[in-house]
This record gives sequence, structure tokens and C-alpha cells, in this order.
Amino acid sequence: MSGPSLDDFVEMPDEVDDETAEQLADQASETQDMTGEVCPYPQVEAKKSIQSLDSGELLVQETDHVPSTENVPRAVGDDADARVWRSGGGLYRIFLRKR
Amino acid sequence: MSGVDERTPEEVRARLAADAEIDLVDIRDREDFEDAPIDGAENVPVDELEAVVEEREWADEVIVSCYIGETSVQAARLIDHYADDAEVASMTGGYEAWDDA
Repeated sequence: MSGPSLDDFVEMPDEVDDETAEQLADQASETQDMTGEVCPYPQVEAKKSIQSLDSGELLVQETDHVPSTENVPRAVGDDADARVWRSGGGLYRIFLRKR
Repeated sequence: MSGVDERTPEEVRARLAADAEIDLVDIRDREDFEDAPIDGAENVPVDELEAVVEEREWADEVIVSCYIGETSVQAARLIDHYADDAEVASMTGGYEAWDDA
């Protein structure tokens, strides 16, 4: 496809650079590998995990499903602040810091 | 980025019952769709949508459904870009709402 792809129609939260992503990954209280999974499982797992974390703790979700970068932060809503790192190779990390 | 129109499952059912010329596109995985299909829907998994969206001829009215009505919004935005003359909407609540309605 030569024109815009699905990636262009996803409203991603703030993106972080490679260095920041590595630093954040080191701070993770929990990491979820959601590669290969699509809606609604990433949202469900993120909501469950955020509920179990303490304020300030960080959940990292790894995904290859670009819609999740919008849907997962929306699913946790005001319970967490979201940022996203994109590898450039179709992989993403969603960082969710519990408020 | 602007949002897309939404249709409730009741509205979609009414359009189907009226034999409206619509493309009802269910973007869930094949397995999920086969386990719990929506009558009248065509299954185009979201991961396969990009490959067909540009070349495909769309009806004047396109309604996109997924599992809970979130990814379908993004897919509808994509279809809306390519289907210039079509009225494109997402089904609110996806299959879960359809099944409950």
C-alpha cells in the first residue's frame, strides 16, 4: 500500500526516544508481552495490572498491534499516565505509570 | 484527528433488516469471528485490512465492528480515507454490545 496505513490513523500518546525507553524499561514493576495479541486482551490485562500496582509504579506492555498504543492508554484512563516508544520495526512499548 | 461516526448495534440491525446496501466489516481475528459470527458481516481481520483497503470497492455505507468497539474506530478512520464517497462508521461497543443488544 503506497498511501497512509493504519499507523497513521492511530492517536498515539506522547512518544519517548530510545534512551528514555531503556531507562523506563529498567524501572518497570511489571512487563507484559502482548505481541501477537489483539483487542480486547491487551486492554484487559493492562487494566488488571494497573489495579494491582501502587501509585508511581510502572507497567510496560510490549505490543506489535499499533491500535493498542491508543486503546490501552484509553482503557486505563485516569489511573495511569501513558507514553509510547516505537522501535521502527513494528514493535511498541507502552509505558503506564500509575497515578 | 477527527473521530468517526458511530452506530449502535440496534441501528446496524435496523439497517441490515432494511436490506440496506452496506458493507458490515468485522475486523476481529478469524478465530474469534468464526466462534461468534455476526450475520451479514464480512470478516476482514484488522491485520489484513491494510492490504485490501486501497484497492477495494466500498459500498456507500460502511460499518466497522471489532470486539469492543475501539480498534474499529481506527479501522474506520483508515477506510474513510480511502473510501472517498462512503459514509463510514464504527459500531459502538463492537461484538460484545451486539451480543447483548
